[in-house]
Amino acid sequence: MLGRLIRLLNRREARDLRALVAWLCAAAALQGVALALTAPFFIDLLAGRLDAALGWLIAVVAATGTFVAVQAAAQLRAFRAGIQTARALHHRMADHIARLPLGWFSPDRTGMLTALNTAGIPALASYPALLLRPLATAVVTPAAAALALLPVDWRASLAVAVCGASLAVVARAAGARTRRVDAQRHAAADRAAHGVIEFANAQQVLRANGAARRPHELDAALVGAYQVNRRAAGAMLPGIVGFSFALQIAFAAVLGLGVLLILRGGLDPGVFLGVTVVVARLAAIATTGAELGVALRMNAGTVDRIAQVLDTAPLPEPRPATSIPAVDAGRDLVAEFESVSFRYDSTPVLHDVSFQLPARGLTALVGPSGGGKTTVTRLLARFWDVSSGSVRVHGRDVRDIPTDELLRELAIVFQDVYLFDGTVEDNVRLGRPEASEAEVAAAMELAALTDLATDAGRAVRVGAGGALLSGGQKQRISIARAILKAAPITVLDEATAALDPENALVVQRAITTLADRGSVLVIAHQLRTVEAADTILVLDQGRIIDQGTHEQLRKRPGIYADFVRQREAAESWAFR
Amino acid sequence: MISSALRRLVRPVAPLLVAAVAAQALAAAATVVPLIALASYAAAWLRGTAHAASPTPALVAAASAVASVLLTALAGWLSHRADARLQLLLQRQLIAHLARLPLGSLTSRGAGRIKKTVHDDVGNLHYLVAHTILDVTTVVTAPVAALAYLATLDWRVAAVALAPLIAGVHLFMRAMSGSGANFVRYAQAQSAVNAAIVDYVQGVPVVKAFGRARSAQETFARATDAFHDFFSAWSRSTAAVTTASWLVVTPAVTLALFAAAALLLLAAGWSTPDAVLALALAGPAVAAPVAVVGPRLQAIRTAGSAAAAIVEVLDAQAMSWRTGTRQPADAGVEFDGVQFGYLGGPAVLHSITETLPAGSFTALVGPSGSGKSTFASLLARFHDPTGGAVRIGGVDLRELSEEQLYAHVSFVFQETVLLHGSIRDNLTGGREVGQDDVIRAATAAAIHDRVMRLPRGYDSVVGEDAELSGGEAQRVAIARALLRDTPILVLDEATAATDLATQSTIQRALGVLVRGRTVLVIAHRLRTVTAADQILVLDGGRIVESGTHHELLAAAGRYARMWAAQEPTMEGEPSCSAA
Repeated sequence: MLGRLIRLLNRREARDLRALVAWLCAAAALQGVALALTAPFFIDLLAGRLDAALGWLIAVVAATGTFVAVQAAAQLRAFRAGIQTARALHHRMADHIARLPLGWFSPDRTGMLTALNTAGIPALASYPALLLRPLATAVVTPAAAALALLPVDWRASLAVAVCGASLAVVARAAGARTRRVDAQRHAAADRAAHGVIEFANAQQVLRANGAARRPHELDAALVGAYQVNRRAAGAMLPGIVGFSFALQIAFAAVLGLGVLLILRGGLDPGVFLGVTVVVARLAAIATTGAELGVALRMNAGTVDRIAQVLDTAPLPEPRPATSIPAVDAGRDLVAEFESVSFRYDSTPVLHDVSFQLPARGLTALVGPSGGGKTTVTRLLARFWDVSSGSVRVHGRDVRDIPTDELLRELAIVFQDVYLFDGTVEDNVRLGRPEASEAEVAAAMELAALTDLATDAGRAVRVGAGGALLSGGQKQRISIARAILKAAPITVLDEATAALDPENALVVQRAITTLADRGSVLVIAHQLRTVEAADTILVLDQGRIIDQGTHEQLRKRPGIYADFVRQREAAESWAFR
Repeated sequence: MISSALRRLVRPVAPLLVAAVAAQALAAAATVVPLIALASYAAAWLRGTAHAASPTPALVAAASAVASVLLTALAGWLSHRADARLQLLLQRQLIAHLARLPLGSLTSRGAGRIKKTVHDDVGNLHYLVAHTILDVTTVVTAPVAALAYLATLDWRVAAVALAPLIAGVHLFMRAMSGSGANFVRYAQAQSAVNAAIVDYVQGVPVVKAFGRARSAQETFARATDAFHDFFSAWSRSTAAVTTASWLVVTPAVTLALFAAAALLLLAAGWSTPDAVLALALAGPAVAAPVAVVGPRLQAIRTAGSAAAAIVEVLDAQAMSWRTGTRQPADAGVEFDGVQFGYLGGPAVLHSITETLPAGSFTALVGPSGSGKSTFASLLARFHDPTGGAVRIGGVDLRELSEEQLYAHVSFVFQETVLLHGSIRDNLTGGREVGQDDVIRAATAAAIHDRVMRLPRGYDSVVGEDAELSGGEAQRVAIARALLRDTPILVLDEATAATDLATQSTIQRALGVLVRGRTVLVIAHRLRTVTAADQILVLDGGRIVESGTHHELLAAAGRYARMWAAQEPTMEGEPSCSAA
C-alpha cells in the first residue's frame, strides 16, 4: 500500500516518505542490534563473569541510546510526513474535483468523496507514525537481531530467521482469511443498510399500510446479517488465534530444541538462556506487528479510493495555444449541434442530432421520457463529450473552449436545486456577484421571490443545501440566479415546476423574459411553453424526428400531436 | 472510561461478554506459565542440578500454552457471538422505535442519519464488543500476572519491573493532558472540512456552471489547510512527550534498563541469578501495554459516541397507540380546534375547525407552504396535533389502535415509493388477499396489463425484474388504495400530473378510486376540484375561505383571485368538467 500511496504524491512528498521509510528501518535495525547484544551480556552475567558483563552492558546501553535517538528523530519525521501527505492529498483532490466531468458526480460518488475527505484522508495523516513505524519494527527488528546473533550462536540466529519468516507467512494467511470473512460480513451489512434506507424513505407508505412496525424485508436483511455475523464468529477464529497459535508453537519449538541440545551437551545452558531473553522480546514485537492488520487494511482501502478518484480522467482542456476559429458573426446563431451522436457506457443515447440555437428566442425540447432531452442539454454544457459530431457555441467546438469560458456563456437551472449554506442573496448573487442592487431586486422580482425580496428576506439563511427553504422557494432562487447571470444561453427543465401551478407560471414568465434577451433551451412540459416556442424539437429514441412551430407541428399526426392532445386532456381533467 | 450509554446498550449481552473476558483473562495469565517453567529450569541449570530436573514444569508449560490458545479462541468466539446478537437486538429495537416516532421527527432526521444510527453506529460497536474488550483484558491481565510472578520471586526485581511502567504512564498522562479540548477542536476542524467538501462536491455542477469553481475549491482548500495546521500544531506540541511515552517501554529500552539493574543487583548481592533472569524474561511484559493503550482508548471513545447516538434515538419521544376499544360511528372526519407546529417550531396550522361529512368530497387548496400537506398528514396521524383533536366518526385518532386507524384511512401520495418486494406485496401490503381481488384492483388502476408484461407477473420483484416508471408506480399505489378499500381516502391531486404518457390512465383510475368514500384531495390545479362538495382555502395555516366553487367565485376573495391567476383565459367557468 506504501507503493500505491507514493504513486499518488508529488515528487517532494514521495521523496520525504521514502526517506522516512529508510529512517524507520534504520531505527528498527538498531533496536534489533541492541536486543541481540543483551544475549552475550546475560550469558556472561549468569556465568558470574561480571566484568565481562559490564563491558557488554556498555555496548547494550550505547546501542540502545543510538536506537532511541534515531527512533525519536524518525518518529518526528513520521508525524511531519503524515500531515504533509494528507495535506498534499487534500490539495490534489481539491484540484481534481474541479476538473472532473460534471457527468461523473452521482450521489454514490459524492457520498464517497465526502467520506474520503472528511475521515479517510485525515486518518492517513497518522499512518506513518502509528502504523508504518510498528510495521517496520515487526519486519526489520527480528531480521537485524537474527543477523546480530550470528557471532553468539549460529543455531540461534537460524532459529530466529526461520521462525520470523514462517510467522510472517502465517500472519499474511490469517489476514487474508480475516479479510474474506470481513468481506462477507460487509456484503451482508450493506444489504441491511439498503434495507434501512428504504425503511426510512418509505415511512409514509409503510405506516399507511400499517406495516411500519413489521418491515419484513428489512428484518430479513437484518437477520441475514446476523446469521453471517454468527457464522463469522467461528470463521474468524483461525484468523484471530492462528498467529498466536503459530507463535506459541515457534516459541515452544525453539525452547524444546534448546533443551534437547543442552541435554545432549551440545549447547551451554547459559547461552541458551541469554538467547531466550532476546527471543522472548522478538516474539512480543511480532505480536504487535500482527495486530496492525485491520488498521492497515482500512488505510489501504482509503488509498485505493483516492487513487480511483485521481485516476478518473478530467475532460481534456484545450491548450491555450489552440487556434480559435473566427467567430461566425454573420449568422444570428449562438450554438449549434452538428450530427451529434452520444453513447453512455456503450449505450447509444443520441443519434445524428443536428439543430441550431438562434441568438434570441425560445427553443423547446419535446418527446417521451428517455428520448434524450436531458442529454442534449448536458452535452451543450459539456457534462460529457460527444461520441461523434460536434457541439459548437459561438462557432467554436465546445472541446476547444476552456471550461470557464464555455460556462460563462450558459445559465443552467438544474433539476436538483442545490443552494449553498449562506443567505438568500448570496445564492442569487452567485449568478453575477458584481450585479447592482437594482439588478438583484429585478431578478428576484421576476422570479416571484416577493416573500424574500425584503432586506430581512434576503438575509435569511438557507441552511446546508437549502434545507431551510421550501422546494418552490429553492426553485425560484435558482431561476433568479439564472436571470441575474443573463448569459447568452439559458437551459432549463420545466419538469420540477410542473407540479405546482404557481411555480409553473413563474417559470413561464421567466422563460418569456429570458427569450427576449437571449437564447433559451427548455425541456418543455407545459402547453403554454410550446405554444410560445419559436422552434420545437421533437426528440424520440435519441433522434430529432420533427421540428417546427406549434402551429406547424400540431397538424401533423405523430408524437407531437399526441403530446398536445394528451396535454389538453390532462389539463382540462377534473374529479367527477 | 466506559460511558453509561455504552453500559446500558451492552447489558443484554453482558453474560456472554463476562464469559469472554474471563476466558481471555485466563488465556493471558496462562502465557506467563511457560516463562515460569523456563525460569525454574534455568534455576536448576544455574545451580548445576539440571540432571535432577523433573519433566513436570515442561508439561505444565506446554499444557498452558495450548490452553492459552484455546481460551483465546473461545473468548474471540464468545465476543463475536455477543456482537452479532447485540447488533441484531439493537437494530430491531431501533427500527421498532423509529416506526413509532412521529413522522416529522423521523423525516427531519433524514434517511442518511437514520442509516448512520441503525447501521454505522451499531457497526461501530462491533470493534469494541468483539475486539477491544478482549484486548483491554489482555493489556491488563498479562502485566498483572507477570508482576505477581516476579513479586513471588523477589520484591526488588518486581520493583525494577514497575519502573518503566510508571515512567510510561506518567509520560502518557502528560501527553493526554489537555487532549479533551483538543479533541473537541479536532472534531470542529473535521466538521468544517465536512461542510466544505459537501458544499464543494454537491454544488459542483452549480459552481462550475456559474464560474465559481475556483472560489469553492479555495474554500475547501482553506478548510483542509486549517485542519492540517491545527493537527500539525497539536501533534508538534505533544509529539516529543508522546514519543517518549512509548519509547520508554520499547523492548530494547526496558531490556537495557533491566540488564543494568540485574548487574547492579547481582554485584551488590541483593538478588539471585534466577530472579534477574526472570526479570529479563517476564519484566518487559509489565510495561509494554502502555504503547498500545492509545488506540484502545480511541476505540472506546468511538464506541462511546456511537452508543450516545443510538441512545438518543431510543430515548426520543415515541407516539403511543391505544388498544382501540372505541369504534368510529361513521366515516366522517372532524378537525376540532386543531393546532400544529413541527418539533417546537412555530405553528404551521392555527385553530382549524372543519367537518368532512361521511361520503363527501373535500378539496384543500392554497399557495405552496400554506400547510396543505401538514393538514392532510394529521389525518394519517403522521403527527399528533399540538392542540385540539382530529376525530373519525367521533373518536379521537389518539384513541384508536394503529390497525383501526389504517383500516379507516388510506393515502395516495405525490411521490410514490415502491418497496423492494414483489408487485403483489406492494399491492397488498403483505396481507392475505385473493388473486381475483388483486387483479380487479390492478385492472381498475390500469396497471394489470403492465404487470402481466413483467417476467414473473405479480411475483416480479421491484428493483430486480420489475422496473416501473413514476406513473406506473402511482397506478400501483392507486390499486393498493383500492384493495385497502377504506371508507376515508386522502389523495394528492399532483399524482395525476407527473407522467405525461400515463396521465389520462391515472386520472381515470383516480376517478374510480374516489367513488363512494370520504375524500380529502390536496389540489394544486383548481380546475380539477371544481366539482368538490366543499373547497377549503388554506393560507398561512388558517382556513381563510370555504364553500363550493361557485360560492367561492361569487365571494370574489382569495379563491377567486387564485382562480383568475391560474385560468387567465377562462371566464370563471370550467369548460371541460365532466360533472
